[in-house]
Amino acid sequence: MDVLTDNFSLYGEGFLGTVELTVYASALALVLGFVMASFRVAPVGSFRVFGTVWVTALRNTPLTLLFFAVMLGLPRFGLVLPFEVFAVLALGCYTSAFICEALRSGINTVPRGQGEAARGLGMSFSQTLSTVVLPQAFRTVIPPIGSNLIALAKNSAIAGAFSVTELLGTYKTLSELGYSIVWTFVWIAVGYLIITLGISALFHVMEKHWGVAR
Amino acid sequence: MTESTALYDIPGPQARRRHLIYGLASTVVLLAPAGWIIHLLFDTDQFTSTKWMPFEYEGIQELLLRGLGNTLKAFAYASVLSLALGAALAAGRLSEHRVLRWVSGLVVEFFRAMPVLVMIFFIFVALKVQPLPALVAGLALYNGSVLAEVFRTGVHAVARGQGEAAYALGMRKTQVMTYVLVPQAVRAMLPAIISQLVVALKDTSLGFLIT
Amino acid sequence: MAVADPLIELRGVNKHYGALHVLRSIDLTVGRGEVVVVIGPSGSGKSTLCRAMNRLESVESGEIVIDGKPLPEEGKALARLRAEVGMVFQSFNLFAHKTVLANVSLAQIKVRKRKKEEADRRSRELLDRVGLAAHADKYPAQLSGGQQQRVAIARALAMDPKALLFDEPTSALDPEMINEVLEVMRQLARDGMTMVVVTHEMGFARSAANRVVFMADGKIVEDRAPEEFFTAPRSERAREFLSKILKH
Repeated sequence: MDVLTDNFSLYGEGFLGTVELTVYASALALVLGFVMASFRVAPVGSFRVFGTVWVTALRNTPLTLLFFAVMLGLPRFGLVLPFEVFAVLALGCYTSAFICEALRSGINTVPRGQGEAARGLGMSFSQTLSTVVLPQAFRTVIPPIGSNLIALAKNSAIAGAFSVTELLGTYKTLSELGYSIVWTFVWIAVGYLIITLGISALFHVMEKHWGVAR
Repeated sequence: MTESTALYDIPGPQARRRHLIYGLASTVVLLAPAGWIIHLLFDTDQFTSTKWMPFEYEGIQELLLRGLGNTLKAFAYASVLSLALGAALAAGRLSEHRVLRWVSGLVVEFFRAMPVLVMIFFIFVALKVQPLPALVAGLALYNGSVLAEVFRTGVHAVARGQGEAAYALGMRKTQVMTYVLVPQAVRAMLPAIISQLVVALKDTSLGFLIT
Repeated sequence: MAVADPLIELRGVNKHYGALHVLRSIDLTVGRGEVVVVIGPSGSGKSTLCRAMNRLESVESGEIVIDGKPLPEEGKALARLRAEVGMVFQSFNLFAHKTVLANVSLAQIKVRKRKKEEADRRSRELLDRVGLAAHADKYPAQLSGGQQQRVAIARALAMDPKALLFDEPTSALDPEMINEVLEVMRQLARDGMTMVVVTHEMGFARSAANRVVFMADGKIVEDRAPEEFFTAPRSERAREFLSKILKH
């Protein structure tokens, strides 16, 4: 217990670091994922190819490797940014590939006939999209996006190995200070549980709210 | 289009022309940064032969091969262990004993909520285990828990009539599981199992962080 | 057949699915107020024909003229035309995330730009007409197939269309629900709605159609009054088809 009370500010800093990483990277992942998903379902071939390459490349690269590529590679080209920004870039881009796939399969679960019925009534493309297709896709997409963002929060631990202030990284300082390692880790674990369970609760609420009516 | 979605109407001649123009324009726009990156790579001398010379040294080649070997070794151990652990935990969650069900549920939920890296660091730092076993153990705990859920949903996804038919023939629960439910569940869940093993393979790269 | 006041005209329409020639130089005219029933073995191209009339399927050559104007290929003009030609699908295609009332009102509001109250009033009127006024606030999944299809008909009617296209409206229904849908369609026919109906319901064809069009292998083989067609089919193909269907 002492570990926590004595080092509350250190833990707090790490915890907030992880939360910040998660929030920013989630925002990036959602935006990029949305863009890539619209590329992947676009009627224009070159967009589809680009989206597919993006998803395939990022999904099949180990995140650690991506971190190295971003942290060591980009500065070589004169792009020097704080480690935190690099970490958000790596995490956000990586997760965007998974978000993209979740969105795309959500759109594909909307039966073709729904679009045909809307167009058959004289609705335009944007009306069909906004009143018929997207609302239905949105409902099916909430749970997989939730689990992808939870995965992102957990993956943010890797950033700690690249000198970004976050939860897992606090263990180093604490073990140097001579605290019990087991208890150090217990409180780190609690921190992650709070974040992951928080995200999962948030998405449960969203699913309850928008998911059932059908 | 090969895939049919609810999104688009069949394009008319104007739409097709528009798509062609967008296609050409976007190709240019997307290829431009690619060209610029290649230019940068040339500019920073990434393609000069001296930068690629090291790959000719036997020592480097051996090092790369040894790295590949270690990756595969860690993956092999981790995947076998996580499949076994997954099966055990799934059996626990499907068991008739409430305590067993409860305990395996708790284990599964905990390890799924924990970053793999925290597990690996904990085993490596706190339990003072060698890097390879620490990596393998961390991966096995995490992926085993995920696989347990995959197995469980797989068993639940097998039509109820299958289990009922087997019970009606007089089989006991173990027999129903081993002869009827599990084989079908594994077949249905094979894509999910394989993609989880791919995750395990990718995550072996976390080993770098503890060496 | 000569038609006095044509509303839908197809001339020399052709379409392929890969190597399959699904529509072979189709000529067909549907007069205002006429009920034309299209029958034929599965794969004969009758659904494709029906869906081509509001361009849910594109055609490769030939002309489709609706109410004197060529069928637009895309854009606003096509949307406007589709609002004039209602479509009823085999699989109902009610919007799963909207209530029955909202299903009927949606396009009135979005396309016809009616006020919500006005649209809802009209929707309730139509739901009453198809016998479903009590179900206005339910979701489609809570209704039976027959009820869903009647809602779909009300949804199409809400646009005040010039014509209605029915693409196998009863094929996805349980036998006991077919009649409630056909009854609504018969009533529409009596009210003078122009209808093109692709169906396997020979009883409906006999009792409600002005003309029966028999299709096989992408061609229109016969186009005649129902009584003539059913009692004395001219082609071998039609005789064979009828003998298979009417045996039981």
